[in-house]
Amino acid sequence: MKKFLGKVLAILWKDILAELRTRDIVVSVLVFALLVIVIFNFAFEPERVGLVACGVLWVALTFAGVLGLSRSFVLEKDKGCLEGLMLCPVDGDVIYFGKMVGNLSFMLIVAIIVLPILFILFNLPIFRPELVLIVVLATIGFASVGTLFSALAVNTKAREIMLPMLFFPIVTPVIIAAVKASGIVLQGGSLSNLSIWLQVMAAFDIIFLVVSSLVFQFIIEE
Amino acid sequence: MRSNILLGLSFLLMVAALYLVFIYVPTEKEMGIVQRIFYLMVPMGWLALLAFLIVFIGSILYLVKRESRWDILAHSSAEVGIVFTTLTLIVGSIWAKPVWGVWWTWEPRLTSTLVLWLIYVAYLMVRSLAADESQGARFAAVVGIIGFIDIPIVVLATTLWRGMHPGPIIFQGGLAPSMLLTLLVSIAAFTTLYFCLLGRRIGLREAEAEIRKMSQD
Amino acid sequence: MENLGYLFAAFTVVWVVLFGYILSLLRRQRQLQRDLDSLKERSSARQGKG
Repeated sequence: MKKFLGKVLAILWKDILAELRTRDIVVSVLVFALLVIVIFNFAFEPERVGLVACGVLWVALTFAGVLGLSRSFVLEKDKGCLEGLMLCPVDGDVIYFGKMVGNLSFMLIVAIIVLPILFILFNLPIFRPELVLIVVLATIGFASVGTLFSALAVNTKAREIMLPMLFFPIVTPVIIAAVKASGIVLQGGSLSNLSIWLQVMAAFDIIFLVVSSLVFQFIIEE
Repeated sequence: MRSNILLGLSFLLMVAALYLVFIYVPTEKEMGIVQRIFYLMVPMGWLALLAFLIVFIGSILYLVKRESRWDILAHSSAEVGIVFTTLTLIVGSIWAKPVWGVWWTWEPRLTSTLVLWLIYVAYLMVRSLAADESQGARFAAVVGIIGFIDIPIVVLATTLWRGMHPGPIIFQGGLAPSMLLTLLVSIAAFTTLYFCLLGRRIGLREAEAEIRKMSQD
Repeated sequence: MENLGYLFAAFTVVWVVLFGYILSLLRRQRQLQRDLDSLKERSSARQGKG
């Protein structure tokens, strides 16, 4: 167990180091998420924007998430790192969890910066701590299938289109649950209304973390 | 020979189903004649699920055993499944117009069928966009597994999402025996047709593989 | 009875799509058969020469 964790952390550390040197993913994804928010602002009447804020938040985070996920394996592939990773004497699930935790942390960093900006831009009244829980659960869901599909898409001929085509339909339950749950939180709803959506997201996260780690080896084998 | 018997059986059942739906079964009181679309919609939806269940099983067996026949089964079933899912969407839409007054409503069943359709379109695209044949088979198998596991979660989420406004119940007091009979015959008819189509599609894939092997020699 | 049209539309669409699919399967099958025949012909011609 300890050995497993060590290997996962080694892969994670490699990704963090690469990110610290280039700032390739977090900065570009963050700017993209802000752009989505600004453009949505123009698409709706300014007075009604408060009503759609949750939708805007999740559209921005999903689209930005897909962008970050696709970068994650494109860099590996283009620099030949993927072959190096595959040559490592580790199992597929180790590589999967290493990459997944890396993607998860990048997406969480983006979400943590985007949330307060959205609150200011859309003039929303209060910040509730439950939102953090929703963001974490939803992001785990995105990263769980996203890492798998990112590794898949990067090996196909049309990798830019393949990832969103696979990713969006599969994560619809997470998007529905996240939008509904954050809507309940922002309207000051009770925790009992919220819990069913948190359960949906938690179930999705657990199921797809397990299944993805099991099938990941079939994606990267040659 | 066996496929011809199946085809004949499917044809007979189909004629029986048409007779039952149009002449035998009594018209439902609440919804009138439109309710008969129900005997078409349920088999379509059921076959979409059955087809994707077979994709799921074929995908797992392919990844475990690496025999191309499982891949052929999964691929063929996915294509036939897409045809039935498309039909579910169209028939659902024709049902929605007289019943709810609109061609499309984000009702849980329609919504999850649409998501299902999108997942398996992506499944077929993964195959055609993969670098080579065996890679496409592996990738598609992964999508076939993930996609099928996703279905119950999608249905749960869309049902909860629209949970505040339960859609009109199709039958208030359960199914009358004559209606149940009609429904079962209709399901049987379309299910045999599905297996006919699946058999044809598998034969096609095998012929393709043979030709590819020959042209390589 | 005013909704009879929808019922017929539903059945028509289902049958047209299914027949279209069957026809496309048959067409692909014929195409493959033709390819197969020409391949066989060519390979037997080559064997005859060799």
